[in-house]
Amino acid sequence: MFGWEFPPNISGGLGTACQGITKGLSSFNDIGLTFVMPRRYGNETSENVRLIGANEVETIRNKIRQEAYGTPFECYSVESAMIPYVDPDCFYQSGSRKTEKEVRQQKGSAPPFEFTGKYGTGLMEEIHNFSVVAGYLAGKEKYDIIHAHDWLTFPAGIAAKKILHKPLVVHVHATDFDRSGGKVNPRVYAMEKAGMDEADAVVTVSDHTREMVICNYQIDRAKVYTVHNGVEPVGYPAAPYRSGSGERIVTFLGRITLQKGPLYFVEVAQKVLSRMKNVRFVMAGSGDMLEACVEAVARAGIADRFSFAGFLKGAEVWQMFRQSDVYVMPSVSEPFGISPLEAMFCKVPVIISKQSGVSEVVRHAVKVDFWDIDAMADAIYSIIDRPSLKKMMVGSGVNEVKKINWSNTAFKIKTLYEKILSH
Amino acid sequence: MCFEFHCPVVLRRYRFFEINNSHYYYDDQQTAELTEKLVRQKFLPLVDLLTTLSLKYAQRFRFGISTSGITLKLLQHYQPYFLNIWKELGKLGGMEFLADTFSHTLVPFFHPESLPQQLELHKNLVEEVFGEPPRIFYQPFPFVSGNAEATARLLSPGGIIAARPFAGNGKNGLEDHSAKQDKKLAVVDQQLSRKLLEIHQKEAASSGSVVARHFLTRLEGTTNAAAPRVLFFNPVAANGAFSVRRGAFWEALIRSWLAREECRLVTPSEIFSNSPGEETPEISASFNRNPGMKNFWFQNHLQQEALGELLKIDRMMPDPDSRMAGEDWYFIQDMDHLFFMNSQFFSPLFAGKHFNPYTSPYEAFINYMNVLEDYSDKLVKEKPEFRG
Repeated sequence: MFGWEFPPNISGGLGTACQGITKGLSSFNDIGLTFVMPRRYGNETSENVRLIGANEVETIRNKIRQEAYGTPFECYSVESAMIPYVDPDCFYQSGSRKTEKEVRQQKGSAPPFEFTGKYGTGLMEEIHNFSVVAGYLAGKEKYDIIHAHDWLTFPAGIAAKKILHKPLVVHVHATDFDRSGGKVNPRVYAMEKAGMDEADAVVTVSDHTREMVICNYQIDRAKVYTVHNGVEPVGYPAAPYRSGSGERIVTFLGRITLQKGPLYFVEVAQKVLSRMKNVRFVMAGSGDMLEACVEAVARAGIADRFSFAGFLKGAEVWQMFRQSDVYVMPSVSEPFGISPLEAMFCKVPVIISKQSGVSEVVRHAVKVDFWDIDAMADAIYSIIDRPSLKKMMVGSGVNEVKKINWSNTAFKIKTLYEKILSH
Repeated sequence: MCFEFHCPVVLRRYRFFEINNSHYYYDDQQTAELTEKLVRQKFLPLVDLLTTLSLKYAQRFRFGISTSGITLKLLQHYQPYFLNIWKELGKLGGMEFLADTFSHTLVPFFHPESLPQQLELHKNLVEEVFGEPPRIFYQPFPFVSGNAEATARLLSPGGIIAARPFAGNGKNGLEDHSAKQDKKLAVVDQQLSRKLLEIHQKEAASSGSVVARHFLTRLEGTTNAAAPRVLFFNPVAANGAFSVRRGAFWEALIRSWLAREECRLVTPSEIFSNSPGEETPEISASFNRNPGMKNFWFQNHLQQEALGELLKIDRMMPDPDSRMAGEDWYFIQDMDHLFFMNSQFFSPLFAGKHFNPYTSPYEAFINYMNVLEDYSDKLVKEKPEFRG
């Protein structure tokens, strides 16, 4: 299985989903699972799953050279700051004065590829390198099925399939149509489509995404399966926290990007605050629209009732939910959206956009169109002002979300594996 | 045999920021479309059938009608031509209206103080449209207040038809002992009425006459032939249109029924005028908390809070004059608004079978509570003494 991130080192829901799926699958005795990601930090925990960071695969360059030249060779490397096209002055300033030179002799091995596992400027190169590692690993051991999560790992999945000649499952957690708001990057689209075309089965996280895959990528409907995500039970969260001021907290938690609809949240805040005063709106997350949101809040004159909490992870997320009275997810296009489930688990009533996959699996949430700020504001007003609404949403929501777990997701994936392998 | 006619009033999306700013609550277009659809698919074919049967079987086919004043108002406003056809049926003489509440409401069953006025308004409207006042009170729910029973009897000396045997608890309905000895009380046979609805819905799978015979066999097997039975049929509760096939089924059923010498279909009043005392339908000794009522209208927290708000508003109108203050109150207390919050609407299967203008019970609650909040605020503004 190939993924790009794994908790606790995550920047979004992809890593959380990968952890849930691997945990669920690893509970089956007849499945042995290897999860490969670009970079392993060492703080990842998973039971019964073999985690491999591509950054740890040291022999890769030599292996490639061996394959390229067909002969074993020895490599000597010297730690040095000298790189091509550096003039003597720069070379001197950059640390050539180091007197201690470590000289290593390496036989048949070389430093591994460097992976950040991030989404920075070298992303395309990392994706390519990751596919090279995938091919290398595929040649070393036997696997029955290859499973690649999202477009970043699709080239890796394809590379492994070419070596192993085993079925490939690609798992679509989001498409570039979701992420870009329609302004699709042609390179990303090409990689997504290549992965889906090459795959023996395409798993989508919702019917919403399934239709997108079928329509926008022209994938055969018969090989596209919806397997909804789950949520990781964390036990009963601590009692909700209430500030002394009695202030009600309405929370947005997610990447502050076009896809997540943060500006709608600001508009909703403005609408609610025109009628209710003792309410605070909190936007937690980071992203390229943060600045635009800050400006929108200032323009609306609600800066005293609106806070930006920054990017939260791990326990901070649970702490945020603990303080929240309402959670809002106004996503423009959300393939699934795990965070509302986490909020429900923490006994927080949720308002979600109908354009989200999670709206297909939950009943005890208020569902609105992402553009319908009137309906969103109305729901916030009612949840805060009318006790029975919150009581019913919280009570029924907790019971409902307990049934939406990764075990069910894993079971459906396992069934799909069996179906593919039987063909 | 009694037939129910009911048209829901659809509220518009009324947002919280409109509270105290706008007092118009209705989605006229959707209400008009729904009324038209109900008339076209259900009421008109049913009235056609009743007319045919009345003409064919003259005095042997007689029936009751249960409808709220609000439904008649909607029909007057949106489908006047249908009302004219219905009036023609009335002129044939076999149709009798039951005395219902003017609103399609639960409120008078909790606050019977409002019952006289509800019945009076209904009676006046029925008399105005059809020329005959209703005499028999139809009691769909048990009274929560003990005084209500006396009120109902006073207002409807002709008799009472109760939807269920609300017996066994004086606080919650008619007393067992009084009911058993009461010559002025009849109880709807819910089991057979349900069966009738089931058969109506399944008739497409078989020919009308076969199904009718099947139903009559069941009728004979489950009832005492000597006792009059009260059956209710609500075409709105049945899935699909009242098709020609269904009409054929009903005709076959009625024909088979009336083919027996001992069978007659009578009006509600005739139940009481023709039945000797000992033949009065027996009330079940076991108290029935009326699960149907609870399951439909105040089963969950949302419905309970909304009902509490309705009763609070009703209490704010202590004198008859203030009750007459505005027509809105009669429209917005419609219990359909509580039904739309029923938890069963979370199930797509249930939602697919029943009309609901909202996509979820939560949405229904939010909208309705906004309307009630505005209405309540308006009352307080008009008469500050109503506060509290």
